[in-house]
Amino acid sequence: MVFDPQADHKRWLTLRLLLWLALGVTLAVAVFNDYRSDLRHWQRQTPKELQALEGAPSGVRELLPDGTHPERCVSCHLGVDAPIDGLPAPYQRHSWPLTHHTPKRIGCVVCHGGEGRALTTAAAHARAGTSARSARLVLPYLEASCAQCHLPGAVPQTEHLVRGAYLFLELGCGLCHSLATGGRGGWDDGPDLRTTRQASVEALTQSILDPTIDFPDSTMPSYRTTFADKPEALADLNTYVLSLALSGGAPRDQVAPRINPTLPCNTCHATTMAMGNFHHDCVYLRDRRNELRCSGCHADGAPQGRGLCPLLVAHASACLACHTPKGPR
Amino acid sequence: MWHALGKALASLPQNLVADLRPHTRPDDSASKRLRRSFLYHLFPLRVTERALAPTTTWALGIISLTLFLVLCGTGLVLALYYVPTPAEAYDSMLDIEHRVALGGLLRRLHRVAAHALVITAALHLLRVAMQAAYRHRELNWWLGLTLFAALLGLAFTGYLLPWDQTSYWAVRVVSTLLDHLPWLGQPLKLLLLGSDTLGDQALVRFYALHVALLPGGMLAVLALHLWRVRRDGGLSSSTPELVTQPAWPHLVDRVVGVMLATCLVLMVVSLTTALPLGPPADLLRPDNPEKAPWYFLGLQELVSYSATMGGVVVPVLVTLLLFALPLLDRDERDIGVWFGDTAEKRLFATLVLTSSLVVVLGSLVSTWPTLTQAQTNLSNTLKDLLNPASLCLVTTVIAGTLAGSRTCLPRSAMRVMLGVLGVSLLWFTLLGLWRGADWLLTWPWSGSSHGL
Amino acid sequence: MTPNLPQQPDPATEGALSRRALLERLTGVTALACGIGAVAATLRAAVPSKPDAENRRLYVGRAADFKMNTTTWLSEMELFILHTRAGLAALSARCTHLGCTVRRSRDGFRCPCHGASFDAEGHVLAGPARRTLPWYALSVTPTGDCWVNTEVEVTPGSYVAAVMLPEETP
Repeated sequence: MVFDPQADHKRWLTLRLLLWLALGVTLAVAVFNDYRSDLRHWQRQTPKELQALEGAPSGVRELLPDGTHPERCVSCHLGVDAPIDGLPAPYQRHSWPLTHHTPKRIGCVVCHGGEGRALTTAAAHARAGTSARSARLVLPYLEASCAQCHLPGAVPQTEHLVRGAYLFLELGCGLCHSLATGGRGGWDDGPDLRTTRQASVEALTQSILDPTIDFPDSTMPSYRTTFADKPEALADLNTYVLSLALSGGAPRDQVAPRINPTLPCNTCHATTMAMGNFHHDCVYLRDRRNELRCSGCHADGAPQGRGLCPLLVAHASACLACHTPKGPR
Repeated sequence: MWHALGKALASLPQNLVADLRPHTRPDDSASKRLRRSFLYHLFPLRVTERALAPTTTWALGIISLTLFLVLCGTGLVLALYYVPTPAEAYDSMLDIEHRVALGGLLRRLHRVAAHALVITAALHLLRVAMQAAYRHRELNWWLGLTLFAALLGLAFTGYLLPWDQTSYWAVRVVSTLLDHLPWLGQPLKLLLLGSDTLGDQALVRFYALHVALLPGGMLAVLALHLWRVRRDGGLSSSTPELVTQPAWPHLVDRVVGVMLATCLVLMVVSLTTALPLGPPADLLRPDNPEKAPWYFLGLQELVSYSATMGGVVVPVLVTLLLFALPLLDRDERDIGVWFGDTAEKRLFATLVLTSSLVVVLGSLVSTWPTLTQAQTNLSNTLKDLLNPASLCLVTTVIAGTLAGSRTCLPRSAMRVMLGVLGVSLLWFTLLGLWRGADWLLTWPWSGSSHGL
Repeated sequence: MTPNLPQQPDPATEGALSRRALLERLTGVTALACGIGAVAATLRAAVPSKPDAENRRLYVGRAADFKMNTTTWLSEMELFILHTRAGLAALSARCTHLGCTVRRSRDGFRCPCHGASFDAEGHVLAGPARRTLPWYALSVTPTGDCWVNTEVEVTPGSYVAAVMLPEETP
């Protein structure tokens, strides 16, 4: 084939023109994407009532609850602590008045999860480093967040968390997933739920219903029948397990917490205590309830949880699943 | 006086343009244009028609150069925001992703270009080796190999910087490979990491390497590399060609076209793919399985067979072979073409295909449970000798010897060896990709959730 | 006389080094030596000095903290403390294959990265690892404090008798 300089140059010039045009288009797309970002979209549509109160928002609003990690949630959630009712999402005010847990003091992420630095809806509402939506944005899993600082049962209106803690005891989860010895339960090994990386609710559900799908070597039984028609119960248990990973426990496993989580007595005994008979809902002890006397644990009848339970002494290895007889070393 | 100054100022833009663009003064002589224009200075006056044909080199060098320039540009902006401390590295990545205008795009461009550059540079290297274009330009071949090594270093150091779970453990796995290197391994590791473990010291060192030492060195070597291409007379060839065309506009047309096309592909890929950061690094809990970056997966696969054979013997021999190529091959014929004749092509295809098949089947057979069981009972020396890594080595040597004895040409022996090594590396990389939890093979069609 | 004329070799001094050539060679050698020295010095500066081996001793806890027949996981130090009838021992939790942190398993330890498994004393059971998990020198002071020196490896199987002081009773 003979090389035709004229035609060749013309062909390449045309191609070059097309390439420049295409490159220009991609640049325009990039700039356009940046322009119609979620942040700008929501700030442009700020309701008039809010604008009247605080002026028109522009740019990123940041909170620095701990001084180092900026949280930008309030860039779109503009009305969180504004005294205006009835605004649509994302401008609505917090469902209950934030007196102590103000965004300025503790931020949003500590309770609701998500990525505080992100400025797109998808990334901001996802768990850090994943594309999965943070479960703690809303109830029931939001209650897991309370356990980071408060004892389950100590905060009013955390029924899901308390019911989950109760289920954890009732089903004997702690016998393998020991909360005292860090994964070495009395009966068999189970991962220490306090030190696992925070899992998604979907993964937790799968691990409870069909443990062998993700972990082929697992000896854990399937709890599919237990939760067959009780999705709420499963959600409660998940809330509690999420709270375990959140509160973390001591990083050094050999440091045994006193009873971790230190459940207040009324977590389990709320109703039974009121009726005056002692009923311990640990699977191990359930069959031996006749051997139990209140005075075994409570020297002078006061529910301090400090005395020596006769069974706790005799069958310490089984009880270690949930308790340690002594306080922290 | 004011008048003269005004005139000078008025003609300034035109002069500046004329200095940069050669065809603004068509009446100038060629040599004057050459001196005048910097751009034109990069190219010879005339090039062969073979050099203009796209299939001769597939423009791999130009594509790699473009990617390198893109990496420098995007990297400079990223470096303005990145903080190389374990406490802030991940957070600063999040800031780049979310807070910096077009930051996400910049980060994706940088990442896509980096991965692409590893591929195009490897192909460029393979092209030069296969066409025997290293003949009479030993220095440039070695400069090229140095550039490739620096490039792998850049890709590897850059991999750590996001400080997310994947990057931290991948780099930790690769840096532990150094433990298996005798004598040099420990001092080298200490020099690279600044301590025994991958921690804050290592991050600062990786950052310094990634933004200053390696790119600076690479720029210098790259300048030499390009200058040598020009000094060596462009494309190598053993048959001088008389039919030439002016480099301006034809060569420049092609170079600019390829550069633009590369940028366009980069932009489209970066705009359409999401490359999210992983979860932040957890220094106490590795994932299962933990993998090296994909370009080191083949090496990791070899090391998982045997640290000595796969981690030391094979890589050292391959490096030596690559460096020795222009010294071993002294043949004057057929420089700069893919194959001498059809007979050699056929021989190459047969040998590479059969040997690769041997390696593939051999490594598959070695995963047979009974064999794996039997292997655990062997002594450590035998374990190092009997594994897919040594099988690959032996097959390569046999195929090379066969080719050499058949054609009496060291070049065709080395072509076959490089071919077998290339396919084997590809295969071991694939195997590495298919490793699932507990480093067990999980076929892509068996539908497991684990993978890259 | 034109200074630029090439010098005619003097038959008397031919073969010997001219003063100029000697000077040139000396300069070259000195420059090379300086260059090598500078590079070596730079590299030496870049290699961090290791702290004295004695300072690398880690306090791991009191002997009484490690219960009989347990393996305690000290995550931050990447150590396991074994306590058997034979005594106490400190095992590295770093897999000898590619340095991931091993976890406890049914029969000992298992590396999550590439599936190497070890028995309860760190000997290789299966997988790509070749070496036993390193045992570090552990010492128990008379007061019952345990120290581990991660710079000093000891032969696997060498336990240190734990002097169990009578527990203080309140």
